[in-house]
Amino acid sequence: MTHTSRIFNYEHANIWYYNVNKEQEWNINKEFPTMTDAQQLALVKQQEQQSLFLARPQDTVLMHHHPDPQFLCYLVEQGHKLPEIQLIKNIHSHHINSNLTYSLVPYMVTEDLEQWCLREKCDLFGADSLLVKRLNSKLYTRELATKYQFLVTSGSLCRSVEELIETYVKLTESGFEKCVLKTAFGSSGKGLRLINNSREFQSLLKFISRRSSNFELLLEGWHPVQQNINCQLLIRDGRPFILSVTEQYIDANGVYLGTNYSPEYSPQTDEHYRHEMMRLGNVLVDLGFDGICGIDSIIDQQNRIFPIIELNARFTQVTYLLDLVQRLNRDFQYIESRYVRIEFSDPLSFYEVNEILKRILAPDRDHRYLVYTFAKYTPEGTSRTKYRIYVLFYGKQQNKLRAMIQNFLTFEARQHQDRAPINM
Amino acid sequence: MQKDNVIERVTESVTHVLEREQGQVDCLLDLSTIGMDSMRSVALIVELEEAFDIVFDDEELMFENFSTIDKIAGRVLTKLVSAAS
Repeated sequence: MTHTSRIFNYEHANIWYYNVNKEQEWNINKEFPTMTDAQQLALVKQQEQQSLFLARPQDTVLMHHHPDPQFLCYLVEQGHKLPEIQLIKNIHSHHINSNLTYSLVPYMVTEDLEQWCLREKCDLFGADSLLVKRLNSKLYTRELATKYQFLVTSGSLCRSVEELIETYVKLTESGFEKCVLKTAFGSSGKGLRLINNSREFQSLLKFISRRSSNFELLLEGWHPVQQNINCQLLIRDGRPFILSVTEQYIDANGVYLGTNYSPEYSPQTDEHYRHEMMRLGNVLVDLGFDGICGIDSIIDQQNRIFPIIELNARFTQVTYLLDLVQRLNRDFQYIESRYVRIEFSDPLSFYEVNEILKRILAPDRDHRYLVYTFAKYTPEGTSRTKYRIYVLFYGKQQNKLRAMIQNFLTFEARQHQDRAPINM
Repeated sequence: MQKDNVIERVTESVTHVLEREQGQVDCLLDLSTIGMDSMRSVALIVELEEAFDIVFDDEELMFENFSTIDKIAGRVLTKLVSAAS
């Protein structure tokens, strides 16, 4: 495994910038049903805290929201050396006031960041923005997978209501109980819509046809999944490297739930998957890609690997945590991440929340946890506060670790709305 | 269509999407406290558009606009009135 510390240009200081949610802006299709949850978006943006795990003390992390000071103290107490944090409203109005050479390391390379780097005379980590955008398109990657003869799920690109109907009929007649409708861009369930039955399909058709008669949407059969399998691929100096193979957990709607960093696959599966990922890596080299990709793949109930369900030509959560995971792996065999969305009637500090977590998770010397993102949002006019808490669990026995994780997942904010007294 | 009728029909759609019994959901209850999230609200708007033969504008598709049955019914009624005039 290539150590992540070798990936980034550590000859000079890096500026880390987490421009998440950019993908959704690329969807010009208005016929695909989506709902914007401004409060959850505000919480998702705070995942920028994950940059702290790759940034070195001499680096700068640009943030839109200052992390809770207690959370930062906690990270230092856990042994992390923090970089400089600079709060910004907008990167475009931010200037580098220094004669030193910097390298911008973004979550995703975009055209506006390329322009910013030109203006600020700064290097940029990653590939050309047009190629990045193309590779992030589910429509393009399906075409790519087909062209290079990777196994793809059944389905078609549809440009009209008639084509949607034709494809749906073909899929259901060939045995698919469920289908999935996809738009080009969107991560973690955004940009895809599961269709459970023909009634839902008819409703979606009406929704779409009320808005447009010309569009580009992918309609595919929903393959029952035995296991997810995911790869972090690095393309550097014209060569592909597999940084990690992990197992992503997603819910029934394709929303990301967490990652198993110590998954179990048969040797044949592991070998076949790595072979396909190296093959994909070479395709990306030929396309001129340079940088990091997260590949989402599935193993279906017939043990077939569909290697390219989604190609994320950007950083993912795994990218940011991989360095930490590799260090923890020296002593702890099992490592998984999860997050919860919780709410309290009044704001709680990080230490108060962590005391609750300690009680619920009951860590011991061989089974521990680390909060790696503490996102908090209190809407105006209310004291009711929403949180997203991301935790890395690591331990020596899988069953004990899984028990901790289960306790975490059943953690219900309402049980703690009374701000239970903390025994310090 | 009268507001009561709209509320009744909206309640039907909400309880269907949230898989709850009718009568369990008060008009002013914050639906996010009983499981409404952005994914389920997408299913809800698809259902509401079909039930009332309306189209929500893109700018309206904000989760906060669909936080209570009362808010949703108000929005639907406004659209029905505009369509009628």
